[in-house]
Amino acid sequence: MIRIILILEGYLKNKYPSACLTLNYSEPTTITQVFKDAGVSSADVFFIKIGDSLVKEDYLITSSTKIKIFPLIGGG
Amino acid sequence: MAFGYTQRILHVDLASKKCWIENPPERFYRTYWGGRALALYYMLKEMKPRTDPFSPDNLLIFAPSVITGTPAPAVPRYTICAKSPLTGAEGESEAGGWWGPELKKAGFDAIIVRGVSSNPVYIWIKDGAVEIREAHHLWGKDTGEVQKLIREELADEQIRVVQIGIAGENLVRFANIVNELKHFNGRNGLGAVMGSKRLKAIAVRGTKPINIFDKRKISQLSREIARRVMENPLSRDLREFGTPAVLRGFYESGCLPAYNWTTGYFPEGEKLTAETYNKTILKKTTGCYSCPIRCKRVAEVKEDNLTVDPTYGGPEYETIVAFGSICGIDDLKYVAKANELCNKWGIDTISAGMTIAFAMQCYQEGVLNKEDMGGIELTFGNKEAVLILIEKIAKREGWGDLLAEGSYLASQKIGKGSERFVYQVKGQEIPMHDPRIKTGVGLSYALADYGPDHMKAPHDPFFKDQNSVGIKELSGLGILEPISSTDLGEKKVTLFKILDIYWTLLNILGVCLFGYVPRSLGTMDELLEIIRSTTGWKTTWLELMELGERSINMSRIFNLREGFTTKEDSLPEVFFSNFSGGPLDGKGAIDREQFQQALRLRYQLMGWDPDTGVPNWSKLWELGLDWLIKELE
Repeated sequence: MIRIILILEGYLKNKYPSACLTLNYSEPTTITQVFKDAGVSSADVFFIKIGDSLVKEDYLITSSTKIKIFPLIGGG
Repeated sequence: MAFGYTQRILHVDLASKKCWIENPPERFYRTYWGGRALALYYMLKEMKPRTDPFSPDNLLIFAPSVITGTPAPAVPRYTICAKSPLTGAEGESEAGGWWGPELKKAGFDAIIVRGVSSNPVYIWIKDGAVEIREAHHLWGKDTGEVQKLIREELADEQIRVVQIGIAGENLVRFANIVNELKHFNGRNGLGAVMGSKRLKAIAVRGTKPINIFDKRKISQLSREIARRVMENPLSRDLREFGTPAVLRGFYESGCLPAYNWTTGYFPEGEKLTAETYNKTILKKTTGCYSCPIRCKRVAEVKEDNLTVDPTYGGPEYETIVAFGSICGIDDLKYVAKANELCNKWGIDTISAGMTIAFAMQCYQEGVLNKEDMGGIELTFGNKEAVLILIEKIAKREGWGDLLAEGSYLASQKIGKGSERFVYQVKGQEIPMHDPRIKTGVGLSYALADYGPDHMKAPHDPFFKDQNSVGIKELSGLGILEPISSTDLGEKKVTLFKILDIYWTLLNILGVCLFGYVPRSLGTMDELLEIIRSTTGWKTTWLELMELGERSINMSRIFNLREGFTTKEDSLPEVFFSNFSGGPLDGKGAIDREQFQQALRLRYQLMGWDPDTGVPNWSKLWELGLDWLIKELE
């Protein structure tokens, strides 16, 4: 089983019901699918980070991991 | 006469100590409205080309918007313009707070200051009456003390004071202008222009309500927007964490400007985050006139070896980076102290941090040594040195005198290759958003008439996805298709032409970007209705966007008169190189040729010559600026 822990940063914590979601998969999956299953809109996400690397939504997850997602960043 | 205006523009000649009031006709207001557009009208009409920024002939103009001071939420901002002593271009800076609304209630749509006073003075305005008062007793004093003294002297605690600190008095080229000690017309060194005129402050008190066409409608809209803002996740985040909320995303992604822009990787970034801020130095939050968001921070430190006075607010995102990672410092308490000193003495924190970081890199690279720096070991991370240098800059003491010129002019004087360590456009230090991850911001940095400004630029991520708020909410401007944040093709250039005009318009209208789309929940329809309900004019987005475009062309012509060319529409070299270190290592470089092509296309889209960037006469006719055609000859 692949266990994915999705950690929401910044205002995403306020926008979605939980700041941390756990999802389980029986086979490799993409981040696009994870977002879909978690109900997270990709329109809200600017950076996706796994470990020390930035990845894109088509990244294929093959083993249990933590994914941090960061919201849009504007000026101010 | 239109509603929303007082139909009174105050002119002050500090040389003769004379004041007079101009009553422009409605057509003037409907053409130039307020803010930068109104200011540029006077700068182009009355200032000769190549006017010295510190000469009596430089006009210093304070201009709120037509909706500033109404009960509408998040529209408290006002503009200050003059020729900038930092860039030599059109100088402009907007601020929120309380002073703009108070000026409107005191009976004026704008103040135009000219001349140089023989002695320090301040201007006192109460309900339409104007007095120029002696300010010898205020000269040389900290901003907090000055505000207190003025309120005591005039026996009214509700007076709103806009003022300069000692940096403005000493003509520091990045001195700012502050209202209520926490809200800044920060950039372009306009505080030095005010100081050159020996004008310490403008105190205002207004008790007259603004004449609004449909008060009931405005109140209804205000309640509705405020309710949604309170529920909106982004607004809640701004209230809880303020602008520092964005720092974590940059730091964890490896694009937090650090060590004078030599890297985006700052592993100690956790110590600078909004969460750390709230745990360690946050005293309370505050806000601006008629705004439910309350994003401003107030910081306090009470330690044996370090205190930070909450009177002067707290550092915003830009300041945290400018005195934090850019200088290699990971101690928020010292960042807050640097912020306090800048606010007490009236210095722009972005330019100050960047100029000190420039000197640090010069030191690290051997261009400057300890002896040059008067015994200061100016290595990255030396937080005590930063505090010392801020004071020296404000007082123009020792090396502070050179650094008070800003990093660009200082490097010209230092030479020895120090120009390599300057990160500027048009002579102004760049803000803390890296264009390599937001190329539209890069275009805006390069093209901004008054130098790079994070508040001038729309930010690309709001347009990255079909469901992005920018696409959903700004479709009324013809923005229908998402574009990647790092794209720099024709579609991005076209999108950012529209957005730059829209953003410029928001500044003219005194709109806080945190209150309306695409950043928050006030919609385009609601903003239009606020303007209509204030003025009684059946205005449209066509008219409003033309206003934004008109002002861009006016500032373009102002700068052309000053000798600026397309050469100055540029970006620092670092952005044409990949990131170094961290998650983005080896990625991100902007393609130089594509960037140049983007600029040419942008000129064409604006109706400007693609080679020279000069507006075509037909564009000037279209915008009602035919009176400026002679400036192009």
